[in-house]
Amino acid sequence: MKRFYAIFIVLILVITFFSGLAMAEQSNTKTPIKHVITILFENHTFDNFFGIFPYDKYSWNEAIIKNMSIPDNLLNTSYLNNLKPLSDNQYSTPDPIEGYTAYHIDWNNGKMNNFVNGSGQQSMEYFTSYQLGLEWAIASEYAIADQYFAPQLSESAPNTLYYISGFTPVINDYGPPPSFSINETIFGELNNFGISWNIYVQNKSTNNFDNLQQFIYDWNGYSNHLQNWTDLVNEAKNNTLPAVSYVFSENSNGFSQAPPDNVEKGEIWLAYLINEIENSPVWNSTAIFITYDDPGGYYDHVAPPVLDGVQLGMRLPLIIVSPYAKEDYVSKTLMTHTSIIAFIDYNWDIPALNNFVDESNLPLDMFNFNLTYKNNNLVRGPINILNQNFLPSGLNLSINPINVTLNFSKLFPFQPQFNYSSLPYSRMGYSNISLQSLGVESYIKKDFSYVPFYYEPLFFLFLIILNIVILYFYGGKNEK
Amino acid sequence: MKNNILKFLYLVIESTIFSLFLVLTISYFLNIIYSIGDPRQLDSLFEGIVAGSFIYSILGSFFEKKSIGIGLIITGISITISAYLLYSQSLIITNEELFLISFLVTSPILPITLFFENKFSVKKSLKVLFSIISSALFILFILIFAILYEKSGQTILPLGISFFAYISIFISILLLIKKEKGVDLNA
Repeated sequence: MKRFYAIFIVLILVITFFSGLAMAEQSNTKTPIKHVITILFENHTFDNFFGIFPYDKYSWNEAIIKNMSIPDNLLNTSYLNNLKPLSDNQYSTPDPIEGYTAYHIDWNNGKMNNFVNGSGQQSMEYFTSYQLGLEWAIASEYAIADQYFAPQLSESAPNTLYYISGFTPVINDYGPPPSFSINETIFGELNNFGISWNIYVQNKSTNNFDNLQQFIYDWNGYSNHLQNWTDLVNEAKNNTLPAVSYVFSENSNGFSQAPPDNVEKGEIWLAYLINEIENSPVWNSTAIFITYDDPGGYYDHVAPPVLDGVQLGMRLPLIIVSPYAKEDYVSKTLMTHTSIIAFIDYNWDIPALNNFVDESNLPLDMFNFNLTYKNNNLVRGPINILNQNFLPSGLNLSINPINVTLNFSKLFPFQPQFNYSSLPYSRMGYSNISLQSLGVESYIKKDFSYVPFYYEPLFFLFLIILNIVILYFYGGKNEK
Repeated sequence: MKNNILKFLYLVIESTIFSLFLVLTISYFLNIIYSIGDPRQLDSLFEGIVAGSFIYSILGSFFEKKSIGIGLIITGISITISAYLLYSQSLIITNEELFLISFLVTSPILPITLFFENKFSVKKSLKVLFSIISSALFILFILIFAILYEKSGQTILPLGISFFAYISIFISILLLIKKEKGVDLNA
């Protein structure tokens, strides 16, 4: 009996020791950020949402706008007349033509001047502060990147797969097959290093997050990590938020801002989430990344570069909201979705998920981790969106906004928290720090995708031959 | 009379299912689906399928019994042209090219129609009817499959091909068994 107790106590000690190690790993971060929340919207380029700041009739020229790049590649073309803002009281455009083919026609080998022929006239319509003043104001209060590109010159699935796994086995929205193991994703890596994570959707009972779960053949073993948006808010309030949270806006109910849905629904939902996080105990240690899955066929004037042999897609918005995000800052760092994965790997000091993540630049220039400029307080207070001036009447921050036909033009920008002249950093910058440049190794040396043999084209060829043999050699017996 | 109609339908259905299996497998092998990203491209795709299924099927009914080799050569050339159109442009194709590709990819219908109509001695007067019913069924099955495919979240292409493959093989085996039992399948 004594031996039993001894073994039992030793077991308890061993379990406690190892769980302690895991917890230590989780809480051991390189920055003050203990919680990363990354929110994915859908189908807008940078220029479509943020490209026209300098010319917007409502914008304030002291804000972020000064540092934005200006669309100029259409100036001497007949397509310039196609580029036009949405009129007031208009909250969406018709859906541009999407897909691998359409986006390549848009791209036109880097000339970026064939969107009318590829994705259609609607691809040239852009949003103003009338619809996006709230999102613009959030962006200008914190940091935005204007050299953040889609990882693939294609539509949702390949880009979103890069967003969670740093590679894609498909080039368009079709599949699986091929599929892959969760070990190929950031979730698998976090799991293996004992770092907590969850995925948040509107309704977890669907067991669906942006149709990505179908690409992960062993997802069912991890489906307890799928939670509701309401859980995210409650966990933040209760200070039980996991280290890494992936939030999917999802297209089907109009939250994702994808055309032809009203963009204000997702915008107000986003403001609600940010407001809830800012007023929760996790705010002082949280960074919220906000981006879009793919260009959606909308015009952008910057030719996407090639990264590690991969032709990137059009620019997408990336906003970082955090007490440590620089105020009114524009990052010129060349980034893509894998930069977010790279930041997670960097922050928790774990290997780069794969080689592509290893080579992706980190968004470190968008942060100021030495906040010492406000009464020696290290942490910036929340902005409290509902206390801002010029809120449109009828604005109700909600997880399910109803009134989504508001004029946000006067809301942009929020009153700056710090005078721009007193900021201890330039309001524009870049960095070329990647995990590889820091000597970090890759966790996955070679990505692997899986097609069952019975779905291989060669197996179908075998069945065709079998069918022909049956029909021809045997079926011919009674021919005469 | 009733038996003859049944035999006729039997062969039409097997011819259609085998054509579907072959055409979908070739499309899967060539990754044609990757060149489609928007519902508005479906018009060109379906126009090509409709035109191809009728033209190749009716052509098949006019070919001589011994010209199955010519039918196979036409199919081979058509598939090669489709692959060239797709891959010479890295899958970036116009709607007109998509129409042409989907038309050419249905070319296996020609030798299959030729094979069934002759192998099972379909009467000359019924050959065109055979082709028309077979093409109509082909288009109907493609439409049903396209709807199911879309509803599945665009994931069941290989599953659908497997379905048509096993049904086709099953019917072929039934035909074989009937012949072994001495049942006259000539329609």
